[in-house]
Amino acid sequence: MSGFQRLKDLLLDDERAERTRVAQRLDALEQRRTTPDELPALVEGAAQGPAAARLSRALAAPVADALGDAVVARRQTIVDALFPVIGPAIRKAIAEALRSMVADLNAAIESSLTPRGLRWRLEAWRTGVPYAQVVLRHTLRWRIDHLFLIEPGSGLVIHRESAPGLPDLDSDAIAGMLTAIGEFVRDSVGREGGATLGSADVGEHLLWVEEGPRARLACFIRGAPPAALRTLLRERLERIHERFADPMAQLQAGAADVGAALDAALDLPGLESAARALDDAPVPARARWPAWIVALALLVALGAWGVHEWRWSQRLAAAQSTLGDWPGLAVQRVTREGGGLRVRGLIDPLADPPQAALAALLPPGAPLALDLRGYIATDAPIVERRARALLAPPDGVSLSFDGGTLRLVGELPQAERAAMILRAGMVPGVAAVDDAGLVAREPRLRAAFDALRATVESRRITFEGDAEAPADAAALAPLVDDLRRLLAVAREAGLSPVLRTWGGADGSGTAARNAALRAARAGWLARELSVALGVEVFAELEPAGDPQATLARVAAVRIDLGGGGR
Amino acid sequence: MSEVARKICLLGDFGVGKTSLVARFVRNTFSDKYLTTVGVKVDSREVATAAGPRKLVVWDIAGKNALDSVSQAYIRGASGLLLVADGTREATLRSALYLQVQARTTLGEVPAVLLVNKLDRVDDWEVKPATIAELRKTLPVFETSARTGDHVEAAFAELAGRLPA
Repeated sequence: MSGFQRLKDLLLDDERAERTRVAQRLDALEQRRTTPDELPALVEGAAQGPAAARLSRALAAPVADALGDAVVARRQTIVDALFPVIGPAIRKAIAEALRSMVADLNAAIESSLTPRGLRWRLEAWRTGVPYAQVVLRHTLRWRIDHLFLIEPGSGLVIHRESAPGLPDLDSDAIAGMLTAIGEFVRDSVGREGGATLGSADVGEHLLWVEEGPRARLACFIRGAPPAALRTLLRERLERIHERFADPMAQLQAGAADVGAALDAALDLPGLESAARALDDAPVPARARWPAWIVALALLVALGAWGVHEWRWSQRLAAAQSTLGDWPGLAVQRVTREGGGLRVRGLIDPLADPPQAALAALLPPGAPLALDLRGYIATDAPIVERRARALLAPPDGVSLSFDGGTLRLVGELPQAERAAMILRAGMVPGVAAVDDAGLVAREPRLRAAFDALRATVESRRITFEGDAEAPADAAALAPLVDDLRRLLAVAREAGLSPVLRTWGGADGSGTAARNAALRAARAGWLARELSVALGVEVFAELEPAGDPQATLARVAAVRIDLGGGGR
Repeated sequence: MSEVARKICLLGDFGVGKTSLVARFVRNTFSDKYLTTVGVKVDSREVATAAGPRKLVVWDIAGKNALDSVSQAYIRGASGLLLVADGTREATLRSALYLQVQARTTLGEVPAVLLVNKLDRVDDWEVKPATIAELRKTLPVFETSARTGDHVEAAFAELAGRLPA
C-alpha cells in the first residue's frame, strides 16, 4: 500500500464507513418498502397488535376527511351504503318516540276523569298553562343525577352526591370546567354586572347552578324538574353557609365530621322527595286569597249582572205583553238599546200613545225610542172609535162594534137614518152594519099627532043659554094644553096643521039667531086660542062632515093638514 | 368522600407543549377545543406522593405570555403551578417566569415547578444548561419531553409532593 493510499485511508476511512452504513440502511429500507398489495395485511396486523389504538388515532383524521370528501363526491354511494343502517335507526327512533307519546297519552286519558285529572284541569285553568303541559309536568319523571358542592374560587369539589347506578365521572374535572365556563360567561357576558351561569342544557341533563359566597351548588337533573326544586337548592345552599364558615378550608384541615355533615346537608334523596312533595302540595292559603277575592268579585259581578239582566228580561216581557194588547198598535220588535227600550212597529192614528205606559215599566231616566209608522187597525175598540168619529151619531143614537159588525141603535129622521147606515158601511174595519135598532122617527110622531088631534077635536067648550062665551074660561085650559102638545109634535114631525074652530047652538031659537050664535061662539074660541097659542086660528060656521054636531051649545076645534094631511 | 383534590395550573407561553404534557400525564376528559373557546381545559389525576395518593386537578390555561383578567380568575384557588417553557425558545422561559410573578399577585406564594419541555429536541435548545442550573437554585426544574414522556411523571409528582397538606 502506497503512502498516498494509506493517507487516503486515514482521511476518508470514517466517511467510507458512514457511506457504507447509509447504503446498508437504504438497502434495508428498500427491502421494507410496502406495496399497495401489502398494505391491507399490514393494517390488519397493526389493528390486531399492541399498536391498534395508535393506528386508530392515526387513521381517525384521514378517514374522517376521506369520508367527508366521499359524501361530497359520491353522495349516492354513501347513501346506498348507509341505507340498511339508517332505515332501522329511524324506525327505532320513531318507535321510541311513539311509545313515549302513547304512554303520555295514556297517562292523560287515564287522568282526565279522575279527581287528580280534575285537579290538574283546575290547575291548568288557574295558571293559564295548557292542560297537556300540566299533565306532562306531573307525569314526566325527573331525578337528580349529580349534585356538586363547589368552591367558587378554585372550582374544586367540596362535596359530591350522585344517584346510585350511574357510571363514575371525573367530578373534579367537571366542576373545574363548570367553574371555568362560569368565569368565562361572567367575563364575556356579565362583565361587572355580576351575572352568573344559572342554568344550562347539557345533553340530556338540565344543569341548575346556585351561587353562594363560599360554595356553589351545581345540580345535574334528568327530565323536567318542578320549580320548587330550585327553591330547595337555594335553601340547601343557605343552610350550608349557615353551618360551615368555610367548608373547603374545614375539609382541607381534615375535620372529620365535615363530610358527614355535608352529606346530611345536601341529602340528595331527601331533596328529591321534598321537591316532589312541594310540587304536589296545594297552593298555600297565603297565595290563594287574592285568587279567592278575585273569584268572589267575579261572582258578585256575575250575580249583579245576572240580576240586572233578569230585570231587563222582565221589563222586556212586560213591555211586549203590554204592547201586544195595545189597541191600534202592531209591534214588530222590542229591543234593549242604550240602556233603554226601542220599539219598532205600526200604530193607528186613533190609538192611544203607549209612551206613558212604557215609561212606567222602565227605570227612571231610561231612554225610550219609538219607531212607529201609521196603519189602519182593525181592532174592535179602534174601529168603534173610528165609526164614532166618522158617523158622529147624535144624541139618542148609540153604536157598538163586535165581530166585524157595527150595531146602530136609536131613532133618527128617516133621511138621516138612511145616510148614517150608508156611511157606516164605509167605515174601515166594518164588515157589516146591524141597523135593526136604528128606527125612523116620523111614524111615531104621526101617530102621536093623530092621537092628539083626535083628543083635541073631541073636546067641547060648553056655553050657557045664549051666551057667546063660556061662564068658566078655565074650561079652555085642557084644550090649550092639548093643542100645544099637538103643535110641538107637528113641528117635530114636519107637519103644518091648520086650526079651525066651529060653534054650535041648540035649535030653540031662530035659525038666524042660532047662526049668529054659532059664529060668535066659533069666533070667541078662535080668538082665545090664537091668543093662547100664538098661532092663527080660523073660525068656521060648522064642522065639516057632521052638521048634527052643531046642534048643541058648544064650540070646538077642527084640525086640517095641508097637502092632504087627513 | 375521598381526600380533597388540589388544583394546579399550567402556565406557559403559546406552543411550549402544555397541552401535550397534560395529555401525557392524565386521561383526557374534555376536548382540546375548550382551550380555544373558553381558554382553559381541566383534567384530573391521582398522583402517588410520599404522603400518600393525592388527586390533582390540572387546569391547562391557554398559552399566553401574560395573564389577563379571565386567566387570573382561572388560577384562583390553585395550590401549585407548573411553569412550562420550550427549551428551543429561550424567550418562553422568561414568559414562564413572568407568568409566575403575575400569578403570585393572585395566589401568593405557592409551590411551583418549572418544566423545560421538548427534551427530545435537545440539540435545538436555546436554553443553556448553565441557565437551568442557575434556575434550579430557586425552584425545581425538570427537562421534559411530552413526546417521549421523559420526566413528565416526575415533574407532576414533584409538585404534588410540594403541595401543602
